[in-house]
Amino acid sequence: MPGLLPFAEIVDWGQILEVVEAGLLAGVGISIAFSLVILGAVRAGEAQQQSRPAAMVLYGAVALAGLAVCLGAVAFGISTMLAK
Amino acid sequence: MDQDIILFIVVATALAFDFTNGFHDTANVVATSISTRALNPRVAVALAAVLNFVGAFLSLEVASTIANNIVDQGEVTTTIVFAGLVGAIVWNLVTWYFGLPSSSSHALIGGVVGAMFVAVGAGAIHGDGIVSKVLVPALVAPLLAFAAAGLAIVFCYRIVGRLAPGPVSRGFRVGQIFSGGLLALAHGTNDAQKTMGIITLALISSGHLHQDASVPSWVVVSAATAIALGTYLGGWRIIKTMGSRIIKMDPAQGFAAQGAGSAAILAATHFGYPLSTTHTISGAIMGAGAAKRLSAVRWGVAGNILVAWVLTLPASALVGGLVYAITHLFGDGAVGPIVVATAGIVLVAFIFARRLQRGASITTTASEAH
Repeated sequence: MPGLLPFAEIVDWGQILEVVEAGLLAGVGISIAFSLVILGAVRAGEAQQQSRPAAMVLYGAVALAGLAVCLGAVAFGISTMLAK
Repeated sequence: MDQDIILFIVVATALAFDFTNGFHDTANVVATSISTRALNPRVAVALAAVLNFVGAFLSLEVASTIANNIVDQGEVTTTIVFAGLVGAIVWNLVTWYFGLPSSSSHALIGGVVGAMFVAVGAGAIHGDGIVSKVLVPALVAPLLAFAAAGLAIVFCYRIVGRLAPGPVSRGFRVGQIFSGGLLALAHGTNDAQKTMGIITLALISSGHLHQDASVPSWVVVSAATAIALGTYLGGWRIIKTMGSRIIKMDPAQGFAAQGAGSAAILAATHFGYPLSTTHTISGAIMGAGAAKRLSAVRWGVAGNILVAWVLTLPASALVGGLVYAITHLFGDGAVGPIVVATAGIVLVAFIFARRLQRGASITTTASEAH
């Protein structure tokens, strides 16, 4: 019976490793990126209230960059699924 | 004629399974959003239903795995597929009745394997396919989601830890609308395909499709519709277990859990692994909780879920084998499936009515937990 073959030979560990890598990278990356969106947005709002335009622009850019990473990651994930 | 009648019953039963899958798994998708008040329950369930429908069209890799890698296509009959489906539905309903979020996917695979074992024997079961495509991913997925969600929440707290809690919570609640949507999409992508794979297997075994045929469009559309309807009518009792009894979450934890769960499911779907969304999101929820404080996770409830996971494959296999044996008592024609399907419908209607009577106010309870 094929089920009695050695465990290590049956499983495609390379594929499993790819799933782990992709899952970790995307799962952690999206949370980091979205946290930066919140950090940037909150700090930019504070900077605006305190009339610090340079800080506002800087934090606004951080928020936008985080948002771009989130949207890009979702778009990339879905397009990869559709492409196969 | 008999074969066509059985095929019709199998397709109807498969769609009924898909419906119960959506019904059973609604909690996996929406519990965290409801628990953190990112979305109200009705909106969360409606959004999940729509995105489950859309997700079903994204990929066919998992359907291919179910149709090709679990049992020997040449030995499968429509009666075996029918018995396997009934085994899975019975196990889904039993775990739903007791509020245990077990795996619909493993129930389906277990049911078909059990029926195949009784009908043909161990030789027709692809042990290597089950180990490599089902069992190993079943172990890896919750651990991956646990680790990813745990790491994610540590980074989240590091980045936003010095900000005022109000804006942070509001921000992550908005984020949860999207992470919850992504999770619903991932769920539809992986779970709806299992039904597509089973219907395709039945069509091949009845001679309506050749062995290497792709999944017909009508199968994709009907499976997507069934899972979306099931999701919409969702399992309120299991929402209570997933959303508030495992861990009380803040919006950042909810976001991290949903993001990590979606990433793990989508990555596995890409390679055709019929993953359990239940396993994955439960692992992610526990990871997000344990990274903050080990005692925040209600390990007793997590243990009950673990027991349901361990029991799912053998229990659904047992029921699948039993249903095949009962069906076979009536011969190889359509009488057996008709008798079993009729008895099943009566039993399901009875259980469903009793459950709805007893579990009416789950939404209120879930909200009161916070």
